Amino acid sequence: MSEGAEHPSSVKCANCGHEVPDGAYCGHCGASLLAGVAKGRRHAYAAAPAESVYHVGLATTLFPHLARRGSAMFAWCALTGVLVVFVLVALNLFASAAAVAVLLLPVLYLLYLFEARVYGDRPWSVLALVFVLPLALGVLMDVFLGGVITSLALLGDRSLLLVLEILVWPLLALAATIVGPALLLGRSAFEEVLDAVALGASSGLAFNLGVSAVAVWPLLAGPVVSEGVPAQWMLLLLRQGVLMAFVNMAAASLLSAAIWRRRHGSSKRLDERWFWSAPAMVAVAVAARITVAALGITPRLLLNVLGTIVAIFFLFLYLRLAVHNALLEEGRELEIGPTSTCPECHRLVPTMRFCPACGVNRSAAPRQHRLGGATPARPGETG
Amino acid sequence: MASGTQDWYPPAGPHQVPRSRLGGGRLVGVLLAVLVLGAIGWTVLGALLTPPAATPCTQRCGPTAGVPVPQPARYHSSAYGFDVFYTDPWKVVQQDAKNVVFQTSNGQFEVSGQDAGKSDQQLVQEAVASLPDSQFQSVTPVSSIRGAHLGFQSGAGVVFSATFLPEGGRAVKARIAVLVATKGRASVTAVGLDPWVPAAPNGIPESSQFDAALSQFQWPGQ
Repeated sequence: MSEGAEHPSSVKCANCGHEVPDGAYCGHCGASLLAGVAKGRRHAYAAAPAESVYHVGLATTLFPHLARRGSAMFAWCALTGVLVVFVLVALNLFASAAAVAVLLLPVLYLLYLFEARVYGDRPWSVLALVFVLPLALGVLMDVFLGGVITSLALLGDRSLLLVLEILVWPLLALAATIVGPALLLGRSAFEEVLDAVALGASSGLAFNLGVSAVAVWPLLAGPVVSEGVPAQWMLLLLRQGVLMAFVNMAAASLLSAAIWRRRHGSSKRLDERWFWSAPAMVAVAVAARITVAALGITPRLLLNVLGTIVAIFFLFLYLRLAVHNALLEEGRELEIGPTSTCPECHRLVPTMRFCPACGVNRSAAPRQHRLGGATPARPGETG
Repeated sequence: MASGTQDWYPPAGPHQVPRSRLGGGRLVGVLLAVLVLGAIGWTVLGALLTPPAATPCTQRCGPTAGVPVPQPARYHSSAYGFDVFYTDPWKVVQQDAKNVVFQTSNGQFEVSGQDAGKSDQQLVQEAVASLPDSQFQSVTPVSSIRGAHLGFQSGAGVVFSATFLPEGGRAVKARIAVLVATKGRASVTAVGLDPWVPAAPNGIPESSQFDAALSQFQWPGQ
């Protein structure tokens, strides 16, 4: 469309019944105006419409507040970091590889929090609760409970060991990761479900950093170039530094989203089925964490890693579906605002909860680009 | 119903596109700096914390004498007929007709029988390969055990170093002693696992207890 074009005409959304600007999506409820019902937009994830909800994209699941290009850049950094770990392992530099594997995702996520300003106006108090606190709890848990587990495993005492490994450890880990987000989600600054997801993810990653750092710390006492089978170390560091970080992140995000649903969830549910309820989210997080812990005691590391990857796939898929539903349910009453740039598709659109052109939920944007801080179009550039 | 969807909304001009706070260059730069500093710091710390290599022992290098064993209990393999004697604080945590696992003071000790037919080296390699690789990393031979024996039967023995990391636990450096011997139709493999103690013989704090159990080991017909 050329400059000075007319405003789009209005149409009535078949899903919510509001008169909304014409487009591919209802700017009020996010339903596809072509499909007619909100449930019919599973082809376009509400936080990243270019992807299907069922496309378990690393970038859009891990970094939901960034536009496609930004999240892709973060995902490429993560993948490159994993490749660096593999190269260091191939060179038998196990200590360096362990350092990179353990630090990679937490550092990347801190940069993401800075980029998206998820912490709002109080960065230090938020980071203290969703990074420093879970990090400290992770360190304490591995120092005390981890020490007991190692002693029992050395002694071959399977009965108590199984209870600690499969039940006590995962449940305490979940509790440790949810303390910080639970304290923050009562604040008015964190009303969006994606805030809950990001705070949970940060907490899960920090907890994993604390646990992994203590777990592999004794490996320090070795030569710079160590002996060992590189393939085994690749699998070990992949699981300890990356896969377990994903598991802790996704499980904590689910718990955090469950708390959000209890506190802010819409009474008008998009999908009334029980498996999108808060108790179901908690149950899935607990089941996933226990499943991964049970996989951890299988004798073969390759099987363990493959099983964990499958568990992560389903955990991420459930998380995306739960978040997608929650984003479509959030449709609070909203005026049609001035024209502004959509942070996802970069088109000039009326400021609404959803972009009428691409359908992204405006909460899936860095805080400075959200509804309140939308970049307004200059006069004369739009109709 | 919607019509002419995208045409209503023109692309924003370059100055209207929301700008990233970090940008690609700064993101990669900060990430790279933190990871490189972390890796270098970790590696340097590792090198500094590495204890000096132990001075090779030249005399009286065997296990120190333990307390005399009172009234040992006994495990009997019904499949191969061998006997393993043990005392407190050792206790059996798992057993069947061919195999027994003891919990010791610091670790564990496993004795298992199988049909003869393999060389000692094969038996040692099999024993190491059967360790769960989800828990044992960098299993590396440290030294061979001279005069390795099970009861009165000479065999072969190797001490391995390893990193032991159970699910939910902390990594520890461990020592694994593997001893094998064959007599008649039976081959027997003994595997002792202990946390590594630099000052102990072969780094195994319970080497004297392991040695005592192997000395009292009885083959069938003895």
